[in-house]
Amino acid sequence: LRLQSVDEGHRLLAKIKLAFIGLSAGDRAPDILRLLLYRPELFGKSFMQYVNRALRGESEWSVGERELFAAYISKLNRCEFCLGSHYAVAAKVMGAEVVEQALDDWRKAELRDEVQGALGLLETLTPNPSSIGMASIEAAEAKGLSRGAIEEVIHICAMFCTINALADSLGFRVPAASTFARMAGPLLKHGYAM
Amino acid sequence: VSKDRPRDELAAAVIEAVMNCPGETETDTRQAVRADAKATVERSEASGTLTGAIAEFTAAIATDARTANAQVLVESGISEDAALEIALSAAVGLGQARLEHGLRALEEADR
Repeated sequence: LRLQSVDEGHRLLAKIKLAFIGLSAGDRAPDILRLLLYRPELFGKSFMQYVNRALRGESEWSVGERELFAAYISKLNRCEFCLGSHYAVAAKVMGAEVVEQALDDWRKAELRDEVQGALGLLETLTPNPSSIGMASIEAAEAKGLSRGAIEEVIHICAMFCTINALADSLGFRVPAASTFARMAGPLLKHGYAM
Repeated sequence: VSKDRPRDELAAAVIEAVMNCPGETETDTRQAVRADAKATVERSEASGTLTGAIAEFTAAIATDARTANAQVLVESGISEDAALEIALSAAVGLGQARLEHGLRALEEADR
């Protein structure tokens, strides 16, 4: 990490958590946790409540679909860390082949219409938020998305545009794909609550 | 506890924490960074209140975060905690831009 205090300046309890997670993962605890556990009242605590609600709370989307949205936003923002992490979780639930197809060209992927509609919305909202208008919403609705489902997608976009920017500007180390795959199980089981 | 809290409330809590949590930068500075990052991604005019390394970092993270480096803020003479607060302020501005534009479009479509 580019900021040494975020890398290793944690309070004692956080240091113990990071050491334990590192031992469990068989690798250094990921940089995302170092950020979230450093001065958690500043960002980590509230952000993870938001993320856990969006990715694991009640939803019109499956967990795998929401993880796919997170991976797709991260791909559009070219954030290697978040793409690797959420690809691994989505692939564990939905299967690697369909997730790869979706990230490569969602129009040709074998996805239900609603998921295609969500990915279409994200394709515009992520890189160019001010160009979103009624037409984008109506296109999503035409694919079967309800108002609530669209609102969920918008929130997922907001939170991943936030964390993608932090991952890159703080210089998160990108673990091997095998490490992401190993972390996917616990993320599915326990979610993102801190 | 958070599972059933409304998403809007949780999003607002993130912004509130990043803007107002005690730290090494003034709330006014964090607000200006957040607003300028948001304006940059919206392709509207930045406030012009930021200068030097903070202005450059804010523009970079909003344009392509891979070109932004929080360490440069420290090299410009601010503390690591202040640099983190600047990075977080910019990042929540980027999220807020997506949230506001998305929800506004949804409201327009509802009318």
